[in-house]
Amino acid sequence: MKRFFLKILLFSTLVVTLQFYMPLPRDLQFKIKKIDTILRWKPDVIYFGDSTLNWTAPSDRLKLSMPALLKALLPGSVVVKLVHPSYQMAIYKENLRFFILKKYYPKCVIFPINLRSFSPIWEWQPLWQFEEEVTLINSMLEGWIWFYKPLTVFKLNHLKLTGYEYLRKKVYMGDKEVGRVRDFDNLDYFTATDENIRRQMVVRYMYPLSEDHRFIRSMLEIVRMSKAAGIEPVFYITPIDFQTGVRYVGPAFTDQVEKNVAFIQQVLSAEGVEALDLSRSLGTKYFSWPEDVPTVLYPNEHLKLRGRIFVVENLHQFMRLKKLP
Amino acid sequence: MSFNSIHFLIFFPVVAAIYFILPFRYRWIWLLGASYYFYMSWRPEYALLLIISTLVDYVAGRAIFASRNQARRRVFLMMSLAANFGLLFVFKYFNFFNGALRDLCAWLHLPYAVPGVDVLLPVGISFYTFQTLSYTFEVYLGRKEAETHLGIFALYVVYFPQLVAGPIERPQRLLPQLKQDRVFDYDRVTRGLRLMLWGMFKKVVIADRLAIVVNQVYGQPADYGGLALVAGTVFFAFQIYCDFSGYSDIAIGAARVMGVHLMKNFDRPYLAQSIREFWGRWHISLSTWFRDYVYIPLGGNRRGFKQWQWNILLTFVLSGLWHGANWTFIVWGGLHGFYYLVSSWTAGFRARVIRACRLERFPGLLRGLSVVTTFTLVCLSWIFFRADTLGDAFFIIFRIGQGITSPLVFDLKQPGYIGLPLTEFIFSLGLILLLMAVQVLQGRGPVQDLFCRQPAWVRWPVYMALALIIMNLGISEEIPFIYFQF
Repeated sequence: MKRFFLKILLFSTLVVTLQFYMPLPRDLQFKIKKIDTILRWKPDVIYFGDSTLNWTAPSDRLKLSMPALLKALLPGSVVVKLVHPSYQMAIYKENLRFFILKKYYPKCVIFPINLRSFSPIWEWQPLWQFEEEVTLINSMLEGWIWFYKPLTVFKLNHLKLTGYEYLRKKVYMGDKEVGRVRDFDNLDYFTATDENIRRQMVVRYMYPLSEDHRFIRSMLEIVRMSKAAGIEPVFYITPIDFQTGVRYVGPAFTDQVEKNVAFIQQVLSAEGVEALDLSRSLGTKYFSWPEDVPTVLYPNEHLKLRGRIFVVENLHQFMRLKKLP
Repeated sequence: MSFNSIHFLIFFPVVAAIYFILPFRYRWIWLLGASYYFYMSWRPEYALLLIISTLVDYVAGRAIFASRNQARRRVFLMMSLAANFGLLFVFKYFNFFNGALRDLCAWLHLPYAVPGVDVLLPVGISFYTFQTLSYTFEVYLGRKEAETHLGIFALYVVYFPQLVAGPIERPQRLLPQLKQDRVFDYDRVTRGLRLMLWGMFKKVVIADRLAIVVNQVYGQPADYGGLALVAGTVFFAFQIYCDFSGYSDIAIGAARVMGVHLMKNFDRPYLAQSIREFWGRWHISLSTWFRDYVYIPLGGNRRGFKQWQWNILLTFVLSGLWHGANWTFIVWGGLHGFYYLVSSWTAGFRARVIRACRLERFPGLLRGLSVVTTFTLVCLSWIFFRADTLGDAFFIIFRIGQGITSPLVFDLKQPGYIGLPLTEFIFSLGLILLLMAVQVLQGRGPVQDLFCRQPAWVRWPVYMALALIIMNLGISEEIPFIYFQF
């Protein structure tokens, strides 16, 4: 038995040693490069976000993203965007933690608050948990990047949340439970009846927010981390298509979304941060979704050029008042 | 807990090391606890099902063995069948049959209001219920005495290497081994570890890589032309083989490390020259289960040709249903039954054609043709196995039938992207060729024995290369073992 254990020990040592000489996989190199680029450029402003930052409507004459528009308004500053395929406050927090631990402190970090993404159908979607990126960040910080690939092959970043659990997450309309995520199947062109569109609005906007919400907890950690590092966090609540919301859901739509907006503002102000509320500032004509039918069949936060300019101008104004960047 | 997880990489060495350190009389307790931990790391509450299955079959086995009254024996057999099939029905089949009944009632314009049940399929339920049932059957048939030690019997039901995806062991084989004292045997342990390494390679390097193309193509079959669908289907044939036989290799290797010899579950199935031979080489523990407990009790081939045909068809359909509660699996099983019958009906005709073409003079060519034909038929059936719905399966067959001239797309940005870039696709083909080459070599003698006779300077670089390939070219995405869902 002793001989066996010695051989196993020798074998493991050799494999671990050789692992240091293995080239990193190409997809991994790409991910690292993305983060490294930001570290190298040392921008003054990092604009975090999801597809709402980049989206352009078919009718837009200028296909400029919101970070590009902001850059135009801040000619002396370096602005970069850090966009993920979907909204996830936890991954924004992890990215910021990485920059801080790498001793890079931008002057300001911008976080849109996309309330639709706080809904259970979005928050718990297994595809949008970014566990892999969190593991990568940890491996870069803790110096085991050479073992990132082997450890992920053996499911170190194993997704704890299963599709089954996701589909069983409760859906609320205000305080009343109205079903589970699985009861709110996505629409296609042929099932987009008024009632089905209403149900999509309910599942995406009518939930009540509480301090237990993962995104709220991540948001508060962002605030505390930023402040401790001397970085100014800027939060703004993205415009929401209230006109369409009220048309399908009724006045309850306004009540619930306003409650959620007030909750966010209250939570942030308790930490001494003011959030710019743009939620009620734009009508349906500023949103891109009616042009995206039949791909998109109900409202989201994608904006037309006029809408994006409005958001960026307001954001710029808000930052100027705070003397940022 | 999955075999390809860090959790298992820690769990297994700890369990094996403590197993050898412990005195013999405590080992079963250790293994039983480890096996329950292994299962409960997935979903603890479902261990209750294992306990129910264990207790019912333990009691039924002892009662059947103790009784000489045939009617009483049958009552206890029925009790065991009802409990095990009851679990299977509730957790696996209820929603399927309920849905089918609802559709039928809707078609007949009859009211039907039985709601579905909202339960998650317990991992491995089809495997452990079949294993416990094989115990009850064997005791009932008088081929095995009842096990008196509840702890050992419980270990037979939950023995972790083969708990969630087999091989489905027979009591005569596994129970005595669980009672035997095993000392640490260097040769046996290293053989077990080698098998585990090879199994891991098949799963995380080959199967999971092929799965990327398969999932892409079968996820949206309408987006692909005939050639991409053929590639997806052939890749699936090798994916499911490497996935399941990889799992079996790890299971057999892990058990061997601890001194237990589990049965062989695969024997180079894609080199089979007929469907009959294929079933002697594919998922052997399940096909022999169906042979012994379904086909033979139905009468086998002893009740005339007509009855035999029904027996074959029914056995294959049930085997399809065992895999999953979906029409696609039933058709898959039925199709294999149909192949089996057609090969029997046409045996004389084929022999005449071979003679007429003088193919018997070229045995190599004849063997090659038989292998290719069998593989093609098996691939055709895999379409039903893998497709989400029967509609998808027929669509894929129809699309392939329209032609396979459309080129494969390896550019991510182009519509019809097959899921892998060209270099990765070629690498995947190379892995399939490597696998087949190893299998051909296995046919010429035990490859492992030949390999073990090589000096350390030959063996060690191979082990290290395999380990490094697994670690660096394995696929990180979460692709569960296919047979976990059964």
